[in-house]
Amino acid sequence: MADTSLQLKHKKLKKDRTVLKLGVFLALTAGLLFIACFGQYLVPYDPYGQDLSNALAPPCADHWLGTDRYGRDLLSRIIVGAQTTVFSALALVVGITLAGTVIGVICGYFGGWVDSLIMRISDIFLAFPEMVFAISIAGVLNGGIWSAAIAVGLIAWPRYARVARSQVLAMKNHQYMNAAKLTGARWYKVILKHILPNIMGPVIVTAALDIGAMIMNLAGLSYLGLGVVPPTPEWGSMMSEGRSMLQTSPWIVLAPGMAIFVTVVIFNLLGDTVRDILDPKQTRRTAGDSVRRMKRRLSGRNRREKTTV
Amino acid sequence: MVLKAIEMGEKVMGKTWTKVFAVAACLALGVSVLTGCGGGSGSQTASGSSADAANVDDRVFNYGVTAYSGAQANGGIDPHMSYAGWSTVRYGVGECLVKISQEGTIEPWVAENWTIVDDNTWEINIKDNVTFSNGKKVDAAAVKACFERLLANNERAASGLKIASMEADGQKLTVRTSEKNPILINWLTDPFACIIDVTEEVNGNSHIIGTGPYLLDSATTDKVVVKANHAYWNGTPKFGTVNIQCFLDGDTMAMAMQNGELDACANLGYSTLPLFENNSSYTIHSTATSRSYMFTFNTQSGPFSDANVRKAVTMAINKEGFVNTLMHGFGQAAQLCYPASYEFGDSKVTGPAYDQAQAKQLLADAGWTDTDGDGYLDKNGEIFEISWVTYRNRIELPLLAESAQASLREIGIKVNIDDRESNNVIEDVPKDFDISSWALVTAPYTDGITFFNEFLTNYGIHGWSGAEHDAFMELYNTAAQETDSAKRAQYSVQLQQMLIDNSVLCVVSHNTMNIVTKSGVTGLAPHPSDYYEITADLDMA
Repeated sequence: MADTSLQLKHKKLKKDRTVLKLGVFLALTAGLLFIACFGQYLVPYDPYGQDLSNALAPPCADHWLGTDRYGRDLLSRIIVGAQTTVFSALALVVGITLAGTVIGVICGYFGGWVDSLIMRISDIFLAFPEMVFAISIAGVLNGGIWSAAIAVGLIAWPRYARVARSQVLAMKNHQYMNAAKLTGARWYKVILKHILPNIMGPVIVTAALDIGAMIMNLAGLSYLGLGVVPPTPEWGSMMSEGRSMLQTSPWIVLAPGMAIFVTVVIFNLLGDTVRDILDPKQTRRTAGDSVRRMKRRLSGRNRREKTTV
Repeated sequence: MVLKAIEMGEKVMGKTWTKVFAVAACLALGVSVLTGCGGGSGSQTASGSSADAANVDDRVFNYGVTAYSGAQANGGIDPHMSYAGWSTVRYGVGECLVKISQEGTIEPWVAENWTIVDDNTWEINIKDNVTFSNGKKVDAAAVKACFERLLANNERAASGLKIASMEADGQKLTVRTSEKNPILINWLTDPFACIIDVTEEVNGNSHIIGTGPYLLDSATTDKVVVKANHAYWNGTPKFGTVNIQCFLDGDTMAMAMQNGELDACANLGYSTLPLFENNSSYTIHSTATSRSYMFTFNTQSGPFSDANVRKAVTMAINKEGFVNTLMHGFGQAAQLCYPASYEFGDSKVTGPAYDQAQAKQLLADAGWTDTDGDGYLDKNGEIFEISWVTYRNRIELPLLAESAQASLREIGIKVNIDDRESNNVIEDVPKDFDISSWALVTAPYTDGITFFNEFLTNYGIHGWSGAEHDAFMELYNTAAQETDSAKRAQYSVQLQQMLIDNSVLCVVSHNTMNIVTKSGVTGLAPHPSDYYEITADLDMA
C-alpha cells in the first residue's frame, strides 16, 4: 500500500533530521581531528614542561584544567594527547577493518577448509574475555602504544571477519553473482566489483561504531601501564598518573576522563548516524517502536475478537 | 491522528525518562567515584580492644605493607635467605643479638653485653632469660648453630661478618674473625643475624622459630600471618593474630586503610598522606631515616665515561623541588649519602648546586651541542639519548625518573625510562643502562663506611676506574679497618667528597618514613633504621 502524504512527510522529516545529525557529528569529528592534527600549535604551554613550583594547581585562569604533580598544564597535555589517543584508535580501526574484511571475504567466497580453519581460529580468539586477553598480549609484548594496538587488534578482528563473511554468504548465490561468473570474470574481479561494494555498508557501520570502543580499550591498557610510556601525553595514562590523587586533586583524573568521555560520545553518535544512513534495517529499536508494536498487536487482537463475536 | 499523538507523546515521555535515568545514573556513578573511595574512614576497628583483652587470642590486627611481596623475592621469612630477614624482624618473629636505638647507638637485645678481646676476637654474652617461641632456652650453642647456617646461606653476611670460627660456652659466644672487623657488632644488627632455632625444621613459609613476640603462622607471596608468642621473654603480645597484608599498589593500600580493612599501614605514597592528615580517626607517625633516593651512572661507556657530563646531570636535577613537591616535603634534599643528623652527614660535605645554566656549559665544554636545532644535544652525529632504569616498589622512585626526564630535557638530554616491577629485576638484568636509580638505606649499621662496601659490590658504580677510583679504594680499605668511630666518621666524609668530586653517585633525597594508624593504636611507629615495626608493645585502645 502506498504511503499517505503524512507518512511521506514524516519519512522525509526523519531523513532530513538524520542528514542534519550526520552533518553535526561530522563537524564535531572534524574539529576533534583538527585538534589532534594541529594540537601542538594550539597549546598554551609546553605539554612536557615541568614547573614544580606550580604543581597540583586547581583549574584557574592561567591553567583552565589545572596542572599535574609535575606542574604541567593539563589542557596542553590533553590537546597534545588527542593525537596519540584518537589517531592510534583510528589507525587501529582502519587496520582491523581491512584485515578482518579481507579474511571474512576469503572465508565467505571460497568456503571449504579455509573457511572452517579461519573461523575456528576466530572462535578461539572470541572465547577469551576480551580485555583479559588484551592485557596478557600487551604484557607479553612489553607494553608501549604499538603493543597495546596489536593486543586490541587481535581481539577485534574476528568481529569484522564474521560480518564480512556473513554478508558474502548472503549474496553469494544471488543471480547477479552467477551472471558475473558466467561472463568469465575472475574471482578477484567478482570480489572487487560485485562483493566489496555491496558489503561495505555493514562493515563501515561496524567500524564507525567501534571507534569509541577502541579509544576506550587503548585508554584502558594505557591506564594499566601497558600503553604509552611517560612522558608522552595519552588520556588513559594521564588518568593513571593521577589515580593516587583522585581524592586530593580530582581534576588530574577528571580532565582526561572527560576528554575520553566526550570523544567516545562523539564517535558513537557518529557511528549511530552512519548506521541509520547505510544500514537502516538495523536501526535501533526505540521505546516508541515497542509501544507501536504493542498497539499494533492489541488492535489486531481486538479486530479478531470483534470478528469472532 | 489521535493514536499518532499518543504514540508521539509516549515516545517523547519514554525518551525523557530514559534521559532522566541516564543522567541520574551518570551522576550517581560520578558521586560514587568521588566519594566511594573516601568513605567509611575508621568505621571498623581491630577486633577486640584493650578493655576486653582478657583473651588475647581473639584480637586481630591488620597491617598493610608495600615492602613485602613475592615480586620482591620475599616469598617467605627465612632470615638467612637474601633480604627476607627484614620481614622476620619487622613483623616481630625474630630478634638479633643487638639492636639500633632511636638515637642510632647499638644496644643489647638478645645479647647481654659484648667485649672486644683483640682485633680479631669478640666475646658476646647471651641473656639468660631469652627463650625461643618453642620454649627452648637461647644459649651460645643455639646462636652458634644459627650463625653457621647463616654463613652457609647468605653471601652478604659472610662477607660482612668475616667470621672465621665460633666457640660456645654456656651463655658466652666467642667469635673470631678472619680479618680485623671493627664493626662486627654493628653488622649483627642486620636482620639477617636474627636468632632462630635451627635444630628444628626451618621453613620460611610456615616454620620459623624465633625469639620475638610473635611466631610465624604462614607466609605466602602476598601475606604473612603471625600469632602471639605466649612464651615471649620480654613482655606480652596484645594481639592473638597479626595479618600483614602486602600491597603492590600504594593507592589500593590507602583505600583499604580508609575503608577500615587495615588498622595500620606502612609507607603510604606521600601523595596519599594528606588524606589522613588533620583527621581525628588516624595518626601519622613519621621519622627521618637514611633511606635515600639516588642514582648511579654507568661510567663504563657512553657519555657518562666523562666526569664533567656526569656532573652536568647532577647539577640539572632539582632536588629541593623533588622533595618539596613530589615527596610533599616528607624528606630532605641530599648532598650525598647521609642525613645531616649523622656526624658524617650532609653538613660535612658539599655537592654541586642546582644550576641548569652551568650544566649546559659543562656539556658544551664536553662537545655536546644542539647542531640540528631539534632541542636535543648531539656529538659526532649522535643524539644525547640515555636509558634510566627505575622500579616501582618504592613509590616515589619512578616519579624521580620522570621529573629528572623533564629536567634533563631542558638541558638537551633525551631520557628513556625503563620502569621495572622491583629492584630484584634490575639486579638481574645486564648492566646495559646509562643511569640506574635506587632507594637504599645508607646507614644500616649507623656507620659511615659500610654502605660503600655494599654499594661498590652490589649496586655498583659500573665501570668506574682510573687513578681517582684507585685512590678511593685505597682510602676505603684504610677506613674499613679503623676501629675509632670518630676517625671512621672523618674517613666517611672524605670518601663521600671523593664520590662527589668524581660525580659517580647522585643522592637526591633522604626520606621520611611513615606509618599511618587508626587513632588509638599504640606501640607502632617507624624506626630510623627501618628495621623494627611489630613489637610486643603494639596495642589498640
